[in-house]
Formats: sequence, structure tokens, C-alpha cells
Amino acid sequence: MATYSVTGAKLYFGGHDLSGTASQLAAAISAEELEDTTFGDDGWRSRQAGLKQVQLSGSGFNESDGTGDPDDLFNDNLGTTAVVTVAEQTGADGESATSFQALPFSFAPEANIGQLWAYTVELNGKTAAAHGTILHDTTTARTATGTGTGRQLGSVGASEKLYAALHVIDASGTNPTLDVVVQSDDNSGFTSPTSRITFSQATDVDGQWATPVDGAISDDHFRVSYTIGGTSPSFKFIVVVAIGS
Amino acid sequence: MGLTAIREGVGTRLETISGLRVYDKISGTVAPPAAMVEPGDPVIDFDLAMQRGLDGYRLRVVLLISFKGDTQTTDALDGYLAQSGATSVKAAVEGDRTLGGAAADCRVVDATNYGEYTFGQQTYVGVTFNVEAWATGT
Repeated sequence: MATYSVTGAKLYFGGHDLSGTASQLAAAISAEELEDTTFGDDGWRSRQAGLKQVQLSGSGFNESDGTGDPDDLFNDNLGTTAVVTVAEQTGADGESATSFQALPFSFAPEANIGQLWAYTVELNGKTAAAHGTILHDTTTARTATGTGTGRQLGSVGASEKLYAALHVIDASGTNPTLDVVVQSDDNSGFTSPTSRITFSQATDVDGQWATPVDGAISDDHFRVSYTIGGTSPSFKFIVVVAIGS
Repeated sequence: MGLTAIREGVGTRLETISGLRVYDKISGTVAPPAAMVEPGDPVIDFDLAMQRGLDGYRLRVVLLISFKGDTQTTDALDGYLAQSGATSVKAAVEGDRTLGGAAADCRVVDATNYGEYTFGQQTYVGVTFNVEAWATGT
């Protein structure tokens, strides 16, 4: 994708969409720099990559109107594990996104005279950073069982894993239930899909980080299948699927 | 929401000042004491937050009174410039910082250009108040 002006990035924290409060998001993925320089390196330093980590730094405009606002959410969850997703473009189906389990280690509300109440937050990862594809977005509320758009993401190598994250940001109805499964197949028609990742049933706003599935998986097409139950149920949710090591 | 609602919201707040005639749209003539609500510059800062979460607005309230003699003119303007009181512009506008639901918040930032104004070939004495407001972009 060509360069673009960022106005529509998305930030999901657990079962909450904080995009409308955020003005700056940076997901930094890094590996430790381990030096192994020897006399045999002809006068040049030599390095290897060590442990990897992911950290999300964000800032925006603070609000405190309820449990889903930054001030309430981060104060209540400081040091508590939550799944986080950053979608750098608009958060639409088919776009890229980065998901990981995170611990909010730093939350700082900022009050400067005459300026908007602001905040900065740092979320440190406790899992791999899964940079993948959005297979279902929050644009349309789902009220009946169905499947998302299948996409060819590639196969999962023997040394790779299949990752998935789910954010349910809106749930309504009487005893509503949502069961989400990530399926794979070797063709775009999904003539014989295989369930690869099954999320726990959601009955309210929720964020889930699936246990990664080890490769090898030869199927290269993936999609989301969702089963909805209850009386007059309605759900808005986003699913990110990634392949990585 | 948007500029229209915010401009009208500022106008409604100014109308709480007894005796002040408020013009929240372009008018060819005014009858002082008058407060004209105009777009500022820049008028709107779009996309302060992601996903159309927040826009910033700037408006000007141009307050004009007739020149009545030094003492009366000064006293009248002092009332409009006061931090509080029956004719305080800041207190009136910020009396409902949501501007009737049109904004998330607003603030009368400063008062500038105290002095002579010419409008419609008439000369008045006045001052300009700069107002900032913020609202969601959706």
C-alpha cells in the first residue's frame, strides 16, 4: 500500500475500542542485540538477535465517563493482562494489524492548563507480537451465524505458529452467545474446512488471545466462522489472524 | 454536531446575558450592544483523534457597544470582560461547556483587539473573544 495520511488507526484493548481517544500509536517490535565479536571478525563487530519483545506506546485525549474509557480502563487494569490490537490503517477486513497480550505498565493522565485532558500509556507485551490480517472487522453488527471472508494467508511452516486475537466490543440481546472459530482450507471455496483455533464463548464485551497453534499447516486459506445464539443477539467483533515464529 | 451546532450553541449561551443582542449568522446590520459569533481561523482542526474521534473548532465573539462617553463605555466593556458576573462573556459561554450538547467541551480562551470597530459605516467600541470547542467528528 502506498503511503497515506493516518487518521483512522484503531486501538483495541480487551473488549474496548479506544480508537476515538487516541492520537498517536506506536507498536515497537525489537530484538535484544547480543554481541559475539571475536578476533576472527576482521575488525568488525558481530551481533546476533536475542530475546524479542513488543511494546505499544500510545497517547490521546482522556475520558472518564464509564468503564470503557481510558482513565477508567487503564487505571483498573494496570498490571493486568489484556489482549491488544493496533490496526494501522482503518481496521477494515483484509487490512493488517498487530495483536499481542499485554500488561499496561504505565498510564499517565496529563492535565495542562487550557489544554485537553490527555493521557499516555505504555503496554508491554508478554507474548509474541502477531502481525497479521484482519479476518473480521467491527463494521457490521452480526445477528446470525455466518462466516467471514476467506483470505489466502499462506501455509504455516513447521517452525511457525498460527496466532489469533478476538475483541468483542459490543454485545446485546437476551442471553447472547458468540462462538468464533478460525478455519483453514486448501481452497478459497472452503469445501472442507478444518477448525484450527476455537475461542471461548463470548457473552459480553471481551478480549481473547488464543493459544498459538504449532505448524506445520499446509492449508493456506483462512477464515472466521461464528455461531450466534440467544434472543435478538447482536455482536460487533474483530478477529486478527497471523502466521509467525 | 458540527460547526453549525457549535456556533448556535455559543449564541444560545450569549443570549443568557440580559440586553445583549446576539447574531450567530452573518448580518448586514447590528444593534448594539451586539455579539456576533463568527468562525475563527483556522475554523476547524479535523482528526485530532483517530477514527474521527475529535475535531477542534475556533470561533470569535465580536462584542460591539456604542461609544457613550469614556466612563460608561469602559464600565460596560469591563462587565463583558469580567471573569464572572451578569454580563461576563466567559461565564455565560462556559455556563454550559457542552453548548447544549453540541460539544464535548469549550473554553473562552482570551479577549483581544480592545478598541474601535467599524461595522456598516458605524463606529463602535468593542472587544473580540476567542473561543475553542471540541466535538466528535461523527
